[in-house]
Amino acid sequence: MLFHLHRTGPSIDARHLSNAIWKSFLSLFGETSVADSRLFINDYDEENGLGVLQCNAESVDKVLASAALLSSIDGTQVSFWPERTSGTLKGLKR
Amino acid sequence: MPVDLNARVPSLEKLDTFVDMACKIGLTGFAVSLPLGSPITRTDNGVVILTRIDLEGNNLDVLRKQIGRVRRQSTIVSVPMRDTEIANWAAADRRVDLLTLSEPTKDHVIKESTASLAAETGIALEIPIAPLLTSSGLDRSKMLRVYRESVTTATHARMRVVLSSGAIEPILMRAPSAMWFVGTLFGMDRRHSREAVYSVPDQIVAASEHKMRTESVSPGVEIVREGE
Repeated sequence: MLFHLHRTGPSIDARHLSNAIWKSFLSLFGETSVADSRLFINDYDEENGLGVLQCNAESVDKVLASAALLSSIDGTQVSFWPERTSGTLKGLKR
Repeated sequence: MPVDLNARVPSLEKLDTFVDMACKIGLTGFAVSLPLGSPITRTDNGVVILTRIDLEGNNLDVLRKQIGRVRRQSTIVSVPMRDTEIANWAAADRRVDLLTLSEPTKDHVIKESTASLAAETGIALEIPIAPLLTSSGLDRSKMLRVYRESVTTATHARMRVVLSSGAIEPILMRAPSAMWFVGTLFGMDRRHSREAVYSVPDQIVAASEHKMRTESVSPGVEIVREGE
């Protein structure tokens, strides 16, 4: 899924963003859901906040709900916007 | 067209920052509890700003007098869910638009009787998600329980549900597509959650505009002209 991370404050790198989404997902849905999700950030531009998040189809709703509830990462306030989802990277880039 | 029915803009000076954020995240408008010149205003960049009032008070007579005064001045009229007697009155009064779960504690879970009344009058249950953004762990689980039980009761009674941000700062606003997935945390399926974000707010605004323009007594009955 293509996402846009709006923020007020310093930029956030992909690793911290990924960890934050994982933690939120873990808190809401538990270890087995996280284990089954195959969640990772494929591509991310720190400056403009645009990126691609990947996970398996069954986990999409949970991953996006978890990311939407993120309010801050390392002191930077954020608002996660899932812009578009697609079954393939090619479809996303179209 | 997605509208956030509950942006808690603290002052008129901050309104522009909320408008900017609404543009960035794809909202077509939002409702605020501020004294604007008119119930509906459109900004230069096309964002619609609606006025909203949250009726406050523990006394039913006071609330009845309040709503008579404010109905024509506000696009959205909300009654916070606190007391069962007040909730039941609000659920049966067509001048109200929303019953808001503003304090997600177990005492404020909506009752079946209230939801059934509200379903008949077209009043929606509003869930502001802001409390979830500022809590975690057990506290958040307790809130989720209240939201989930209330949404289940509302859905079972065919009462409409609407999701809003309850944002006190622009960064706490959420894109409609994000709110859509937050709704699934409350037990709604994708379709109902999408309706709660995209179509129910629109329907409420349209119905409210009609209530403001006419003096509707009940469905199909309006006061067209009063006698001298």
